[in-house]
Amino acid sequence: MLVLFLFIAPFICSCLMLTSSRRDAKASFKMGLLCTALPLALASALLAMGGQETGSYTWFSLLGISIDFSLHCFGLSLWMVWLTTLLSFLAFIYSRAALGFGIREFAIGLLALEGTIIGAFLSTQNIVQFLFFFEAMILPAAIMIALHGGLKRRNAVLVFVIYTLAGSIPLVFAALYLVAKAGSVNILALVETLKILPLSTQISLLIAFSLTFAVKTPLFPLHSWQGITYSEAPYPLSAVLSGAMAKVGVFGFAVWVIPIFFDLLLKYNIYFISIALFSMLYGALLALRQTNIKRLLAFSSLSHLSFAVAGLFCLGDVAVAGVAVLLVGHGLTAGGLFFLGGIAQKWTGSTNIKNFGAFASTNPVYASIFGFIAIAAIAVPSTIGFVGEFLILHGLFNSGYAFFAIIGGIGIILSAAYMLRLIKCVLFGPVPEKERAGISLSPLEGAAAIPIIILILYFGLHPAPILSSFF
Amino acid sequence: MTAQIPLWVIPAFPLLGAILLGVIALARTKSEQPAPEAYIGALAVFFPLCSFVLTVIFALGLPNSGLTQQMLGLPGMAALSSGSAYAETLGTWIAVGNFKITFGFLFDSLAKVMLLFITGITTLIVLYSLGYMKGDKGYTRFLCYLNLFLFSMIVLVLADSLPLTFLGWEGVGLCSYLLVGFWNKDRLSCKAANKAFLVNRVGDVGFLLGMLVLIAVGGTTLLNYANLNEWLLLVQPQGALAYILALAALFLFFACTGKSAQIPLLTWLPDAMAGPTPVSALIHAATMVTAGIYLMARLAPLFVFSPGILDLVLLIAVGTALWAAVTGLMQHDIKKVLAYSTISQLGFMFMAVGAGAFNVAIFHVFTHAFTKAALFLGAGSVMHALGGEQDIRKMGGLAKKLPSTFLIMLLAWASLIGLPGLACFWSKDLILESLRFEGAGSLLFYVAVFTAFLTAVYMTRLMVLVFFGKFRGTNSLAEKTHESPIVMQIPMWILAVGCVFAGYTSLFRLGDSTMYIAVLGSGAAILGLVFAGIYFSKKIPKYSGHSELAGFVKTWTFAFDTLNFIAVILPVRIAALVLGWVNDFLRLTMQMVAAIPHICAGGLRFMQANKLRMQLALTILCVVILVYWLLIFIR
Repeated sequence: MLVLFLFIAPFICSCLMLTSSRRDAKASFKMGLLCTALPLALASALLAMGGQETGSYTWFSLLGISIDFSLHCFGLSLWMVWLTTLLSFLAFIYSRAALGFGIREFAIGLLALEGTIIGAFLSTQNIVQFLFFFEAMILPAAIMIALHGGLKRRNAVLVFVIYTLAGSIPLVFAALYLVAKAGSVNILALVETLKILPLSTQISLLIAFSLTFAVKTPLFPLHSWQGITYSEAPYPLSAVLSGAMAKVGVFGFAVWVIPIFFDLLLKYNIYFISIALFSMLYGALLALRQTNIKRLLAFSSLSHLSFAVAGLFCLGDVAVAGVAVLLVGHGLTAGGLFFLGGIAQKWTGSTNIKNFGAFASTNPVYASIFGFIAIAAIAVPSTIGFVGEFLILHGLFNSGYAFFAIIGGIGIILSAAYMLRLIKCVLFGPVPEKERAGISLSPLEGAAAIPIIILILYFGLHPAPILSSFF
Repeated sequence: MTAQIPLWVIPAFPLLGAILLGVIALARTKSEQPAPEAYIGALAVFFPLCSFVLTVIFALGLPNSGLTQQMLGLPGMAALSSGSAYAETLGTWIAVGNFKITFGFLFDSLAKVMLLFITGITTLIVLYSLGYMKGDKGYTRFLCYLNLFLFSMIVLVLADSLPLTFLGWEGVGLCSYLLVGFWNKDRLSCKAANKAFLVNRVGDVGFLLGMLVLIAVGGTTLLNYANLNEWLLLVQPQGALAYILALAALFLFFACTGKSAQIPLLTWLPDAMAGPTPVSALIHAATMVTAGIYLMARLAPLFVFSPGILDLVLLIAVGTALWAAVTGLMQHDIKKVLAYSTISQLGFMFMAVGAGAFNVAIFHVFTHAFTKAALFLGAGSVMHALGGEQDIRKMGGLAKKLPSTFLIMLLAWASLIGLPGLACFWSKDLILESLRFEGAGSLLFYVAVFTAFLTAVYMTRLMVLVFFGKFRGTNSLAEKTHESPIVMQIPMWILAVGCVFAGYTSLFRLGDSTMYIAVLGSGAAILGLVFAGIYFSKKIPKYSGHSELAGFVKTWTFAFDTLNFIAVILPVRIAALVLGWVNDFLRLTMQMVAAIPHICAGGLRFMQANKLRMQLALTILCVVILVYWLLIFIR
């Protein structure tokens, strides 16, 4: 029952937010806090229970195929759902600083987005249901960018909507084709049906599935929507987009592509790993050259998530567990950096990292938090990133092509290079002439970073809660 | 007595110190009042001191038989069962199926030697820092980092498995980064800090890959030192297996070249001198940079069973030692001279490793730690006296003004160049000894002797230029010159005593030396001393107005920077540039696709023009078509 509540909660809360005051920003902020905290509380309770699933309800039936509705929350789903609720909660806390207006509208949109993302993460058995949420999450995200975005938000919305919608066309057609052949939407039926199809059809379907998830993750060369979307979206939304929504892409690879096409992938996984690793290097190298903090973080996300995809296609249990850890870690670090970047922008009025600088001298508390999270993004041991990267590297090394581990290693070195550059530009350097006396981190924003730091360290030293949900 | 105290208490103290000082540093950022330095200083010294005392208690509990070559191979069950080691497992770190990594500590003879000098010297240097960093805005933060460093270093040494060592390994790298870039308003410091972290990171990936090879060979159990060494002695790898292990050894050695500044990853250490001098003394001379030698000693059996790797180590070690000694000869910055000297001495340690004499290498680590720490602290004292001046061409005649510092540095200098009877003499003699009977050829032996000669030359040059002759700085500076406060002098004197007596410790059990090698080694030192003494007291290099190097000196000094630039940095930059173009191209095509609806929308808007006549015309046209069509349809 809890999982059903969790699924409905964001939508109900979103509706509740409609009743909040439009004029009194303070009151609506408090209400928003409660509304975003509720799904987090439910997800945490679910985590403590170790997961849950609902029975199958008939949703509708079409052309003789009955389409059921069921929610499943175990393993990867469980952790991704929890991460989504956590990031949404934190994003709302930071939104007060990042947004000048419209906290209420932001909360409504955020909760709707959260609900659809959770819906996608919970649909692991029924592909039509998954597709529904996969498409649905684009809408609230686009509306929020249009409402709160930067100067080029029109362009950003257009690119985001068209690119991601067009990106899901291959999946829609391939999935419907498979469903029509199988006469069922259940994943087990799809797996069985695929086996009787001719090889060329199987490969076409694999490519179609992969294209869509490669757009969502994103992987090179289908990443072009990401830079402009993340950089035009307000910071808290960018955090949710990169920390939670982009992970639906990786999740899609893990839950749909790999189980359905497993036999095929045993032969062809090398291509996927190669593309993903190239994408990792690509993201890291481009991050080295960015001066816009959001674009830098966008390419850093591209790099990290590509590495996660590479880990998935090693097809080993150990690597998959590593991917789960890496995804949670990436959600925490990327989310945290987006939140803190937003604060830096508010202080300096710029998104260019060349205009930041010297926060270590003027705002040591902020600098310590930022520095810690950035160092965690480099995956220093004792932080969560290290566990994920080490397990994935292990998977790559044992994927039959040990050489891949060296490429992964190069990517890890490059990730340190761009993160250190970011730290240097944001935190260090001479104190600028302009007066910075008035700026300081508000207690709420400072306190909101504490759970991020604690979780990074906790899972870095004791990843068993995540790992044990896979074995 | 030691049975009741768990091992994890040793690193727990400095960790607690780091957390406490960190919280104080952050809590006091708002207040204008400077932190009460006396209390904070006492706190900062207290935690390392506790670690040191605990280490001594543990060390006394172990039967002291001296570190021998055999014991390095047996930090495992054999040592445990004979009662010459403590071990404890704290818990699981990463466990997925067969993949299992645990937290555990191991205190054996090797860890004992390392920990004794690490905790001891750290305590002394923290004490020294109390005077050196007095009045600095980041006083508390600095001491917090030092405590954090000590924690990481203890974990590195005390760990019973490679992954936990790696935690400490990256931890010390991180602290080094934080401390090199301590004065973070200065862009050069930040650059040096980034370089130190990145170059080390390159090596660290070697560490990761080395671990992966070991896991591939025998599962995660092989990551535990005791299991690994026992397995190696049991299996006695031959043939293909030996070559796979050699791959692991190669990766791990690569990691060591990063941390211990050997060819090709040595470029970060001279730049790291941008940090405060106590940091240079502690991290970049005495402790962290010796982690590579420690790791190789810890994995001695692995390296012994890996064909060809030790020869490579020897070759790189001799090359590094010679190159760095020549470079040290040409520097004008007092800390740079000492930095290159450190690289050269690390080369000597790796020579011993390459020759298979792991315990001799650790012996040199031990003696060198006292000597180089004393030298750096002395250099810091000189700089402190001269208001931060680092150019030795502007010094001179300081022996009279800073008698205490002079005496300390004299002892350390005598030890480092290997004058008979002092600490480094014993270890250097044994290194030469081990090289002489190594199959790698006697050429390397003579190169090593020549490097020892060069060591004497550049160190004597430094001493002559700093302490003898006339003072070459400004007059106002000459008047202000003063001896350091007592809190800085006490640690220096203790270290100076170490420079004299560290060679006589019973922590090691080493072979006897041959007479003629001792004569040859000390002969080289004395020859270099006399030569440099005469040459540099006559020919003092003139200060030419700028401190940058030029010409051949520059080419030589930055040879490896240039090499790294061409081999690594340039390709990365080019790749980033080219991929930037690719990205622009992709973005452009995407913009074009996105423009299609714009164009369509524009077209439709034209149809729906708000001009009345147009609207009317269109309506009439449509009605006509509709009526016409209806007429046809009805008929």
